[in-house]
Amino acid sequence: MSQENVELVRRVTDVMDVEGFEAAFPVFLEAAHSDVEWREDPAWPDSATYRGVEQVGQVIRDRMDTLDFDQTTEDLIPVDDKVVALVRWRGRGKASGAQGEISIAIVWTVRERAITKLEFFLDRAAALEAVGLPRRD
Amino acid sequence: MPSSDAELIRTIYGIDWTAVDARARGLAAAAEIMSPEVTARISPEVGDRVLEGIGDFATFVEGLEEDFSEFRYDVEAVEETASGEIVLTGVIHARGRHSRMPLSAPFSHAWSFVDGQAVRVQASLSPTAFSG
Repeated sequence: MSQENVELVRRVTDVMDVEGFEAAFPVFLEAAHSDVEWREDPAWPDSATYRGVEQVGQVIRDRMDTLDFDQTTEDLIPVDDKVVALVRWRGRGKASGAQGEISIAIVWTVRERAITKLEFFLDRAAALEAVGLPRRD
Repeated sequence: MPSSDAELIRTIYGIDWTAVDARARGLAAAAEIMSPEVTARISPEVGDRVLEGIGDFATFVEGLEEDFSEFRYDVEAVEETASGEIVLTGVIHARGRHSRMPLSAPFSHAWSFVDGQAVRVQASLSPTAFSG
């Protein structure tokens, strides 16, 4: 089951990595449960939790608009019904061209072959701890 | 002891270029430091672009405000690699305007001064790009 979960998450992250977030959006919606939850790290300013594909779709659109984001998925780690994605995001300003990066973790929960929750961790070690894994250096 | 060129150039770092008052002060300080014909080559990692004159520089920093809610070059080291050649290295701390996502990147800026005025600056996201 863990490997099946990884494959489901990889279907989305592969498109995010290669074609970008906009192209991955319909792939994500197809794989998501209708009541999917999107939980942002409290350290992320103005963070909140959103529920349902409509709210989640809206927050994705709202948060993307001034930067072009590229994602590189560095690892997908299965743990029970969760998959920890270690990713690097690079945001580039559409007006200035200036860019910066952040390495984060996204914990995907998969139940009955549907994505039911995404939890964002700005601190990767906190994500690993949250699913009961040891920290990585 | 740092040269006067190095002391001058530090005054336009550590500024949040997305804040209106800070940007105004930064641009005023930049106008004191930079020659009107200054050329600034932006980091090759983000495109092959040269800003020409203070006007292009001002347009660039206005673009920062459109894109980011915070954008700051925090200097970690200043090195005078030759007379009139100053290299600053450090970390960009930024935050997406709508994503609010905190982002960072290393930077390296090489400034060339002639008669106390900056005539050229080259940027890189590689901290060792202009090491002496």
